[in-house]
Amino acid sequence: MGLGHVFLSHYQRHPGQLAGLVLILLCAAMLWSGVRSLTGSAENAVARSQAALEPLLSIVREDGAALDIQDFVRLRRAGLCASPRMTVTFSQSAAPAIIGIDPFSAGCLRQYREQQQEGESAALVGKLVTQFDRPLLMGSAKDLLRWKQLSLPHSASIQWEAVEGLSSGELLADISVAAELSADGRSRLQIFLPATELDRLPLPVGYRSQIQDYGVEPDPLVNAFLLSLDALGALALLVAALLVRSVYRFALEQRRRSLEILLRLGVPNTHLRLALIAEVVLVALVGGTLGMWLGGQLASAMAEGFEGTLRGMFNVDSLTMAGPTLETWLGMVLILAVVVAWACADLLLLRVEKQGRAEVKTWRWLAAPVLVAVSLAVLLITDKLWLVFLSALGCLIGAGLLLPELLNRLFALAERYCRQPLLEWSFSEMRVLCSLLQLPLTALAFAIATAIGVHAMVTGFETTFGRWLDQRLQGDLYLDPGRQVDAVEWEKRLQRLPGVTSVLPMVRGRGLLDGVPVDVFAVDPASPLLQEWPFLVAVPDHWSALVTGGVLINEQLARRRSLDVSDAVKVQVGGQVQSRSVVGIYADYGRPDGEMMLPISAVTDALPGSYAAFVLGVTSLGESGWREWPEQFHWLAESRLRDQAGLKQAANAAFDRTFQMTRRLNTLTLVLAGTALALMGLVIFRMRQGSYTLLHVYGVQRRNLRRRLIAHSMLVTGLLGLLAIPLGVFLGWVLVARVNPVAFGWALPLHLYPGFWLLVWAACLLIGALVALLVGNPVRLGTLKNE
Amino acid sequence: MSRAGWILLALLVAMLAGCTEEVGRDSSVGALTDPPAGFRQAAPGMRVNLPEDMGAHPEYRLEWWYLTANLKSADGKRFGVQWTLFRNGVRPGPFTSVEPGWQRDEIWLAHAALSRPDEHHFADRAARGGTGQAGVMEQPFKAWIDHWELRSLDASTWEISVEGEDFRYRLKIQPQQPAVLNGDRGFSAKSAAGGGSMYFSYPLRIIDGELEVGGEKFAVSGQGWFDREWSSQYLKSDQVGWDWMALHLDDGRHLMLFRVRGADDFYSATVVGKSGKARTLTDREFTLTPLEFRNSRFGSVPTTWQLSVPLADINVQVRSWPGDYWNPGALRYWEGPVEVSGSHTGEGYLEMTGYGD
Repeated sequence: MGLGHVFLSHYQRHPGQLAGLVLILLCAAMLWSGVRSLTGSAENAVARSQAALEPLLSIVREDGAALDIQDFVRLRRAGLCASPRMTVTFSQSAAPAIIGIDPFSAGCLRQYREQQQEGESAALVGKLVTQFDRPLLMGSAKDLLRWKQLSLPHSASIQWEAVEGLSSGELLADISVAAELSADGRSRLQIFLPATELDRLPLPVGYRSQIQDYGVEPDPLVNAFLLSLDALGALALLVAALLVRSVYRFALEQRRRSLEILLRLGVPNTHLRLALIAEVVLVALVGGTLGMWLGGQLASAMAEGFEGTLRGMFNVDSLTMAGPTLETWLGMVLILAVVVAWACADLLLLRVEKQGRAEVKTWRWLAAPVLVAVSLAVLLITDKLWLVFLSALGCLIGAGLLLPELLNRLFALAERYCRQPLLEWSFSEMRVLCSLLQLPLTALAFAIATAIGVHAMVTGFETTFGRWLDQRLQGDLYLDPGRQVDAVEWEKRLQRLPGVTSVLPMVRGRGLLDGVPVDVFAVDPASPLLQEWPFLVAVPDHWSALVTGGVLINEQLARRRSLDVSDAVKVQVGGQVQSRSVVGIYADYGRPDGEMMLPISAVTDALPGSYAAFVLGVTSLGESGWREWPEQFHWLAESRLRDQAGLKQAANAAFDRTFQMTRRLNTLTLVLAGTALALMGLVIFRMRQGSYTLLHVYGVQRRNLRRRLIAHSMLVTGLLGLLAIPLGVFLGWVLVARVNPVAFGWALPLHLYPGFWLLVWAACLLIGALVALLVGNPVRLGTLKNE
Repeated sequence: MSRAGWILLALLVAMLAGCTEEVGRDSSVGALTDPPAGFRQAAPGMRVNLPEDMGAHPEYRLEWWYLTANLKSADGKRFGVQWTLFRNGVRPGPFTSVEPGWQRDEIWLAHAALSRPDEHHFADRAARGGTGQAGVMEQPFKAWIDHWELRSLDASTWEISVEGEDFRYRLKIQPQQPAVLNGDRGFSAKSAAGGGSMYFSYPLRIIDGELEVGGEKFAVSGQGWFDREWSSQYLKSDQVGWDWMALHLDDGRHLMLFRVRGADDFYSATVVGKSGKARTLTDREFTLTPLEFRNSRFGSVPTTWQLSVPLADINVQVRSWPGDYWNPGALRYWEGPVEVSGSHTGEGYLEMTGYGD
């Protein structure tokens, strides 16, 4: 019989063990690869969209004349990284707009640069260069079809190509093609610059810049979210490592005997180790491969929710779900092999466990608090993200080491003060359970803590995001005039529109706060559309205070400059320097930049690069006929009107889907830990049957013993659940109060959700009850045969 | 030699094939061997007309203005610079429109590099023709793309100014008259079977320059080489790359020589005497042999050469500066300074294509 047979025979005798191992590894691999696949593709999509949302400056001539090709050349000759865009629109209502770009300078705009860097042959800019010698239009198949139906006179020689990833209603072309087609429609040439260009070089005389797309840029939110998802995936692996180790440790005694026999039979130690390594790799290979495949399925199933989120927030049309590559597959197998190797390290080293169990306990009892204390200290003082994660992990491991021991001691205490013999036995029995099930219990504790922590983060995020949306998307309609306009004049005009009840002009620009450049956001503090705005902290009647020498600042700025309410600051907009005091701090999760809010009266003429937009309140959206406004009122022709309520709803719905997905992942981790505990519990309880049977022989009723078994199991998991709740709250705190500020400059408030704790605790009790019920009758007289 | 042509063609083929890695040499050579109809061809018997030929030739498919220089700072630090402006006709000219417009007639590209021993910085630019963003004017001479510019200040002095992301230079240049007509009075053959380009050069004296690299500024002077070449003629399908050098010997003479590597290597050279008198050398009149190879970022390249021109009593070794002088891109090439030792000492530039991984 070969060595392989001997190894195989162990699992033939204990098929449940193999199934358990593969199942645990499979679940872990599935969770990890699923999460990674989602977050990986989301990161790419976010990076692309972020580029699209990079603050862009649009160049205008100071004499107010329309831009032409010579303006573009003048800017380029001045050394500025400028790129033109010609938009051609047609009178036919269904006609898609033609967006003409210059592929040779498009690299100046990050949106196109990223595409080029990806090196995809399908990159749109690359295509425009490849097809430079022929007129080409690219767009979605639907838009191309609409275009062909127009049969415009100048489009006879044009070639079409259907591509993904372009905005709906737009066709992309070389600017020369757009120029040729402009004869059939209305064209507008714009010249863009990345905002950072003006830090390097001034604009030539005769030009000024305005912000083209100030953009809501909620990517830090999404990044925090993705980061937390990744951490969740890593925790799933940690849980799996603990579980696998517990399975292997459990198998240790059984395996050791056969291994020792093999040694005595003359099989060299190295052969045994090699065979064990082969086994480890094989198990990891099977679990990893199956798990990766399932992870792919999991990611595909959840991609819709994710994609919805990204589409809602970033205008990302599609999330490219790449299949697992050989590299990720190998990585996964390697991670699992390490996990399994750690789990069976004792076996690999063929180490005989010495009597030092008590020593280990003492060591753990001492080391764990030290680890927790050190990690906590690091966590509190560090401002490096990786250290935050590492120290959080340290806290978690320290707590994980302590928890079963703490349970054990609690039961020991109860045992000592217990007067009733049967109760004393119960406590002693639970202590044994704690000791035997130490690893799966730790894993369960981690799963509980993760569930609570992530829930706190996600729900807190949801609440905060809702509030943030309320602030940003207040009013019924949002109007971007599409060009620089006189805010006062436009406000008057807008007020005369049918059904408009209130108009809030919002002027943006740049200014200095204590000498530091910040964004300026100027509003009319008297507007009824502002009265509901929430603040993190503010003086009473802050809107009036804003008019009388106050300034409102966003959280990022407050943190960066260590500013608080009533601090005095020097504000400079244009040539004016004003002394103002901070009258409120508002949450501004959209962007990482510092921003100050001023009354519009304080900035009217002096704000460099100012750009006005408007929020409108209307009596009834349905009756106002706002969609027709740009056609009815010629001065609104270039404007972009958006229905804020719809926007808010879409954003909320998108996040709802994503949150749902996180909860599902969380539940899966809990299920994984619960299942493993149940599997282990079944075996352990069978081992303890002798003790129950003896009591039965001594006269304790079978039913009583069964009830006790259920109570033991539920008490252990229930108490563990109770102890793990603070750990979960701690994890939640780490995510919202440490990870976010370090990574993005703002914190989410930590909310406590006792309702959810109760739910998780009930799940723990359920797991305990389930294990005990599965064991069934604890009395089996056959177990006394050997006594 | 159409050394620059090779580069440009390689670049164009890469661009027109979508800048993808799968652009193989075969496809680029394919594009090189089949010139599109409508463009004029350079042929033996054609003459160089100055100053007109300093300007653009829209009726030809390819042309370039190519400058390399070896510079020294006051404290003896050595630098090398390269600046090249390429024009590629997408459609044959001349173009009638006088007003600037968004056209698809030609593409302009520029490469700039600054080298020091063990250090190489590179930048590039691209623009469409017809807008005025890039172009060349023959009188007064000016070649530009965006804010990069080579222009004449007066009858005997040019100025070049270039800004890359991590380097910049501004040099005052004196082209040494008369122009050096390479090959047969300006027609430079590229293979034994015929075909070639119009090609003339100027040895340069760099009288006053300032460059900035690594946050440090240096006042520099030195010497260089300027090439002006235009053609629509492409290489033969068996030609895989070339080695080109422009050398400045300390006795005041200059040498331009190249080898086009193929089934049969093709050699040509020009030696310019101290007085400015030039003579074309055939492959029987000089030998150029690689002596040592260097393992570079992109594979092994010959960086030390033995050059022998018996009738000019020249027998020298040409050795590249230590370092890696690849200009990156879809189809990269080596462009780096060299030093000359042996029967004569001197300096110059070495350009190589078709090597590496």
